[in-house]
Amino acid sequence: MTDIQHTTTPLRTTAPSKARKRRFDSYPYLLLMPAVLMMLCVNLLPILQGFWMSLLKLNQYTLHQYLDAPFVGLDNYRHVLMSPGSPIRAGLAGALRNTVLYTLVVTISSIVIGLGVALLLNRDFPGKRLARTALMLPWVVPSYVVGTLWGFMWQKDTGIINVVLVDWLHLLPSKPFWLLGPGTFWAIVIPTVWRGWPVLMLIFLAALQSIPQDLYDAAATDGASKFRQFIHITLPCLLPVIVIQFMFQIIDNIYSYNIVSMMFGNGAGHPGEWGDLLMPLLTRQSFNYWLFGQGSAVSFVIMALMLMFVGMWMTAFKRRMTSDA
Amino acid sequence: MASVRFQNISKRYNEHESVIDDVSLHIDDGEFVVFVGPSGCGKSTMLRMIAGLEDISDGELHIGDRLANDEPASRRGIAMVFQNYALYPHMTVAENMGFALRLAKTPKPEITRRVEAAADTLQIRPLLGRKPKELSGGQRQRVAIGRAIVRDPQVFLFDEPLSNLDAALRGDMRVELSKLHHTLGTTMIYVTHDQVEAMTLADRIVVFNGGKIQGIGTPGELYDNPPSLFVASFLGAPAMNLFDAHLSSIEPMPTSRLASGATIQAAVDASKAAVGDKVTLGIRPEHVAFSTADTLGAVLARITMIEYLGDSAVVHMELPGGGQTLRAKTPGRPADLGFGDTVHVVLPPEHCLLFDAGGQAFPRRP
Amino acid sequence: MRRRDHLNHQLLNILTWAIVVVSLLPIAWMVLSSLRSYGDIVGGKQLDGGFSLRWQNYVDMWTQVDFLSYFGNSLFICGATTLLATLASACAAYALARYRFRGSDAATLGITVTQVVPGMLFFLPLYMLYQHLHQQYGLRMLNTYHGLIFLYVALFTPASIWIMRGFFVSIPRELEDAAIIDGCSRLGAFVRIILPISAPGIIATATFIFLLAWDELFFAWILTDSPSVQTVPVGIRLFIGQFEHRYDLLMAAATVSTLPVLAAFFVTQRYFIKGLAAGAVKG
Repeated sequence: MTDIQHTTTPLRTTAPSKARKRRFDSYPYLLLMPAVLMMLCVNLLPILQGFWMSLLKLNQYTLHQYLDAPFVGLDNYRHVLMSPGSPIRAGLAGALRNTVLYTLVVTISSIVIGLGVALLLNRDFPGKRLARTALMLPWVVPSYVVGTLWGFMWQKDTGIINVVLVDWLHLLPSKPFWLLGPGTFWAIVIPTVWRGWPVLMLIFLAALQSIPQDLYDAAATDGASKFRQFIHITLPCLLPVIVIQFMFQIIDNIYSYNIVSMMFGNGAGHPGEWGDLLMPLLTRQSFNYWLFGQGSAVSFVIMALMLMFVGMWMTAFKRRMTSDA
Repeated sequence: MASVRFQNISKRYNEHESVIDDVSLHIDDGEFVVFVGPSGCGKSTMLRMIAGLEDISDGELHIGDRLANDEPASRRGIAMVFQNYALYPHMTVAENMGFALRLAKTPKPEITRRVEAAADTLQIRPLLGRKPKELSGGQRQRVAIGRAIVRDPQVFLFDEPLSNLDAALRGDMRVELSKLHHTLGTTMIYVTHDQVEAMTLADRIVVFNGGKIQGIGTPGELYDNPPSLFVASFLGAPAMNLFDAHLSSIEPMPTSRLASGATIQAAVDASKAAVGDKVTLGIRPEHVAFSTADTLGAVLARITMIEYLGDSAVVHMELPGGGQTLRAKTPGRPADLGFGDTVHVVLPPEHCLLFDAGGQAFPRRP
Repeated sequence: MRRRDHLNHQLLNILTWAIVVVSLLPIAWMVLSSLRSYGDIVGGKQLDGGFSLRWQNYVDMWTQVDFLSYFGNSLFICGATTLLATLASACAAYALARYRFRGSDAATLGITVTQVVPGMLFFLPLYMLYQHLHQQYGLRMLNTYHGLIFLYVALFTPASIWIMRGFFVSIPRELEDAAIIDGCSRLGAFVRIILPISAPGIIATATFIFLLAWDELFFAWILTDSPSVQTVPVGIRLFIGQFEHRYDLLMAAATVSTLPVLAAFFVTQRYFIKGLAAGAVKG
């Protein structure tokens, strides 16, 4: 006796049609709005404005005209990329080379060291929590303090690093210049790595701890050595995290500024041929020589390159990045 | 206390997908109704529509005598118990249970009185000062039920509340819920995928599949005379035996021919069908009887496995010429049956069911 | 076999602690140098000449440079930024975690893009925009508190949304359902139920924002030019320009600059480490 009743008595049907309309739910939009508005103002707007500015002749004479300054089309781009007369162009090749090298060295070092220490910390030993917190401290120290501190430590004659290397450990015959010449490259790389690997260590540690112990147990029963277990279990499981962090690290390091600008004294600091990076160069030359149009052109080119890089990276590693352990 | 009525209710997330398709249902005041069905059949969505957590795309919902389609959840006179308890972790048990009343600005002494009364009913009085993370699963479930009781609702809604408990606890809680229903007498709508819970708790069961109702009835009705193949195979454990067959004759009693060649009679009214139609024959394992070769209608079968459960045994057999499996349930241990034995079984016509090619049951012969 | 494992274990422990010590050496050096006299440092005698600690540096640094201004400005600006950015990102992260609506995917994509193309890259247009607002509309943005705070909040909100979203996603939806049935409005459910539960995550994110804000040198340098608004990093940079060899004072200033973020880190480190790791692993 199935019991599907269709009632025939009319029930109260007030306003069902009005209620049937799809209520527009404004709630999530309201929540999102402040953040979105800010991002539009501070990210999108400058990009659009920057693009327009890169097509204008903006120097100290025309600056007050703002966006009505004379239109010069792609002249700025030409100057920046080709004409030797542009102060920005002069340092650009060197800065670009430095930045790419710097980014690669720093990123790879930070990831390797971060991963290594994460492996070390992934065991049980007394004081583990303390060790982990202590290792985080270099990251907590503000980056400009890092720049200042290491600038002090890299001093040729009185800096502690040379004192240790030459006077105490006798690893080098004489005290080299770190803040002049080719040494400047290492002078900026090492503090950046020092400050950068703790965060990576933390992230890798969390990832390591999320690998199920079962996998290792199964491998051990199959007779795999610790090393083999690392190669065949740990690394594959960590690969998505490593790939993503690698990309973020590269992006971060390309835009490096604080450490370099604080390390080379004299306020605006000139780091020399081997220590100049992209953003410090851009900032310095744009402001010193009032080259706002050319500076914007460079910004735009960098943006294009970065977007291309990220696009390529994500396509190449898309499968790896979205796979779960 | 209130009745709940669905009239042509549908729910769609977009133009093409209907999660619920034109469902109409009337639940009486004080009934314990169980919505049962496989995952994704829409039973939880039905419950959430009653609760007001999902919008209704079409149709009318009445709770009591009010049109409830657009009423906010807190004003519908319902209370809900969730599968994962949904207890607020940062509040004590007492605060959890009294939260709704606090929001309604009920005076403090009243809140305390009602919370303590509910706590007494569920025997959780000593837990009132604790936080949810200090409680066991069963205790948390009681608190969740207590939170619902405090609200003194017209309709209780349960969304698979026992799924996260272990088997023994589940059995105990089933009894408690039944007792609760008898004590309070409130309308209760209970969603589960477990047919044991449905059979034991329900006044009436509603079987869902694919967003549509497959059958409504009391447990007895649906068990003995399932209206459709789906209901027949869903209720009862071990599941009903089902065989593809063809109708070989209709008068005087419909006879079906199985793939193995055996012909079985069923006491149903097949007058609307024709000879040669595809049908499905069904019989519950407990109705399969063992006999000797010379009994009328005996079928040959070979035993492939015997599952001994203590109080009963399930004998798995294979029919010749097609490999169709037949399960029989016997009380106690069948002493004279063993693996590989060839036996004769009888499928009594009065317990056989017949379903047409569309899965609808042929009505019983009176 | 056991013996060798045990030995390995101990060796690794020693290695670990060695790394800890080496890692912290520069910081120790900074503090030590801040307590030496100028003469000693310039003369290269930081390590000998007895252990006379010169606390006077910590007094001088406030008097010889307008450090109090810088410090106060930093505290105010970073504090305000933390408050506002946490609020904005909590709301946005909640919307993205709970609701799927038209534009939510675009918003997520937008957030990713802001990390690849940060506000820092187009500093020239921003600088000009700020100037223009003053010239055209009389709205002073350069060298003001609000100019900097607005920029900071806008810069740090996207990354924070990422982190907070992870926290909100991990809270079961049923809790909000239960709250709504109990009579909360959606906003009420957010405030009374979700916020208290996600407090650890919010604290972690707030600390993160504070660290980022305190660390910010680039825009602080470009957009300010008087000690009434300038922050600590700018102050230190000016100091280097002014007192080139006074490393003793410089190290004292550096140490003091580190203290607030150090304190924030220690107070919240449990939540912070848990949150950072969890949010980052999810990508």
